[in-house]
Amino acid sequence: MSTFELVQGAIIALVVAASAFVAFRKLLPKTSTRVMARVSASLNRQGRAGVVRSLGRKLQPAAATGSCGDGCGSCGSCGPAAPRTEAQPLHFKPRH
Amino acid sequence: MSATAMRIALVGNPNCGKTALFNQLTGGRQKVANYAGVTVERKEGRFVAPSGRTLHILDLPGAYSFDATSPDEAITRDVCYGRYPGEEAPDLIVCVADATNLRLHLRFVLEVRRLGRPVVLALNMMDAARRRGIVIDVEQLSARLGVPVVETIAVKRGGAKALMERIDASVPSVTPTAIDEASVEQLHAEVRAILADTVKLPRDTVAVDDAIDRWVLHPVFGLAILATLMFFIFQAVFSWAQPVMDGIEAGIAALGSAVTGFLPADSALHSLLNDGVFAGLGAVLVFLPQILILFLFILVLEESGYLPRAAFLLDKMMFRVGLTGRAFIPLLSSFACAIPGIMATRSIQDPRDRLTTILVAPLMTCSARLPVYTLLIAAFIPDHTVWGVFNLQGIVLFTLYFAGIFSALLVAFVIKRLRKDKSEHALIMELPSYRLPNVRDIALGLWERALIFLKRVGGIILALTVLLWFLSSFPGPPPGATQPAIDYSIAGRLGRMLEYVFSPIGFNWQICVALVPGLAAREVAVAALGTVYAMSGSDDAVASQLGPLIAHQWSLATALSLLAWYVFAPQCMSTLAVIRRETNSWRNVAVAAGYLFGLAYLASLATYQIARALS
Repeated sequence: MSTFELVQGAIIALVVAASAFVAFRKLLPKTSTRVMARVSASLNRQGRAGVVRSLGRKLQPAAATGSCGDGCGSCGSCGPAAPRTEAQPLHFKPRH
Repeated sequence: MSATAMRIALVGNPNCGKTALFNQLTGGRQKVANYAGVTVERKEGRFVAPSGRTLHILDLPGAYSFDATSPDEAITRDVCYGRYPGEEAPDLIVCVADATNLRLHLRFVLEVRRLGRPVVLALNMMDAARRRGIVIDVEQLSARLGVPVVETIAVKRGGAKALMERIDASVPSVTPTAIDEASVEQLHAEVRAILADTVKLPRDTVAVDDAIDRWVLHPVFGLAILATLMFFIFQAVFSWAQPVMDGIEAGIAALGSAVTGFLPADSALHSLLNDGVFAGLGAVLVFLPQILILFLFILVLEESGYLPRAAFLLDKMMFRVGLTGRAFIPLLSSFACAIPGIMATRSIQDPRDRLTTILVAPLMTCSARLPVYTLLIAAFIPDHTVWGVFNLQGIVLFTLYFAGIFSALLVAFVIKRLRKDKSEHALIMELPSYRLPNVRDIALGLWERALIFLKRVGGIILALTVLLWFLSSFPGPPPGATQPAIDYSIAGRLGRMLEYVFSPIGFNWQICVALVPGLAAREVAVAALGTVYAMSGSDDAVASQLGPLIAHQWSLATALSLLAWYVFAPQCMSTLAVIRRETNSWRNVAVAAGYLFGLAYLASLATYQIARALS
């Protein structure tokens, strides 16, 4: 395998992995936050090497972001997650 | 109360300029418009006052009363009463009132005052009040209300200076009292008495508004004006954008050649850049001018105060099909994107009306459909002039938008029949004064739309395009393969499998492949088509010329069928996620996705079979 092919393979692997990560974060924000929190906690455990713990801290997700990152943008409210009470779910009562 | 983190809540009737003031104070860019119900959730910001104190400021949805009738009003009530979970009661309430309409707005001021918390009254739109000859004795008003009163002009730079200085000076002291319940009649009587002492009003309404409304709200001329306006917008989207689109297309092609020129033509990296990034993203990026032209008109209409008039005009028709007039603004917001549209349904009081509006909102033609529509229209509909004035492509685009509106009304009518609803909900809506749109605000709005679009292109669309390129490239073809490499790839095989389901509606395997990433966001389908066709062919020119290529390879029936698919299909997972959040029910998500996919398939099937039979 030539050097060009080696470098090319590494670049493509990196780009595809980064794209998969972005898509995962955008399309499944809650799941990805959960997974990242779990991975981060696992890496950041006591007894791990300093570099691994530092990586764990970096991977620790910030507050979950709003769900509109991929779909709209026009809502103007993307950012830190609103409290759960922010949404006003529908409640139906039987008619009398 | 902490001296360094005072919490201030901005409250007031809808459309009095709370969000504009919030933006002035915090430097934020929250959406503002000249109609009620733009803000439906609480927004938080902070700013550093001249004294160096950090102040937290809450922008709350507009409310006519603490006797909340809709979910957005309930947020305002709960925050002011200190009942909002996880939120302390504000240290200071800034009650914003429209100085041109104190007869309506003072009632809520009185309600706020009765909370027994420190209050400052911001008399907003003072410039408009002076123009109309309204004279307000601010000192006397302050004395009568027992709260400090400041004048503001939220839409002008520095228009909130007096308010900021007043907030920064000190919190007005109040004697805490229990919340005093007063009847509506008592409040109205108090408002009348205060107005008689403090305000000189030459006439109740603006003469210019009345003159314009005589035409715009006319049952016949008004509808004709609305239809003409809509028609003109879609004509402009096609006619004005073309030169800029051509420029972007040429720029992307030149950039692609420059970037990939030094790489071996048969290398995977060359293919990733050429077939993935440039073919995929380039195909979407060219639609930026059309999106901006559409938003230019939407922003101008929003700022002018015309939109509530349109809601008033259409209320009767909307009521007949089972929608409340209050659904107009959420449905109109859905033309930009269904997500804010669905969130805006919080201003609808009746839960059943709200659910109906949520279910039909995805049928409004959001801006993400525009790239798909214009790609297909430009490729298959001749650029002819009709009756010497109209552009045929613009007429088709108008028809597609109209098809979305018509189908939403039809679905709402069916829902009304199914739920056997006989109740009536009168539309009570404030018609704001007409306003000349502010050029700076429009330019900022367009800039933000452009940024949102470019972020999507550089974010989720780029990520999915790269993933699609990967799935279209691997595994590679076996030795001695005679078909294009994509035929042997994961995406190619998936497309062939899906083709069994979609061939009755005329979709080939390339379209089937594009539909899958298109579920994340509709315009990704265009990028995906660009990548799939670039991977299928050997000609690099494909990258920048998707339109002519599909015009050559697809039949007219297939193109029309795909257009019909996109009128109905819920090709956006975020919309379904918001329906889940707002209705708190997976069942409603299943109902929305099920009926939209069902309608899409049936409409495409009918379109394809009829078009084939006629051709």
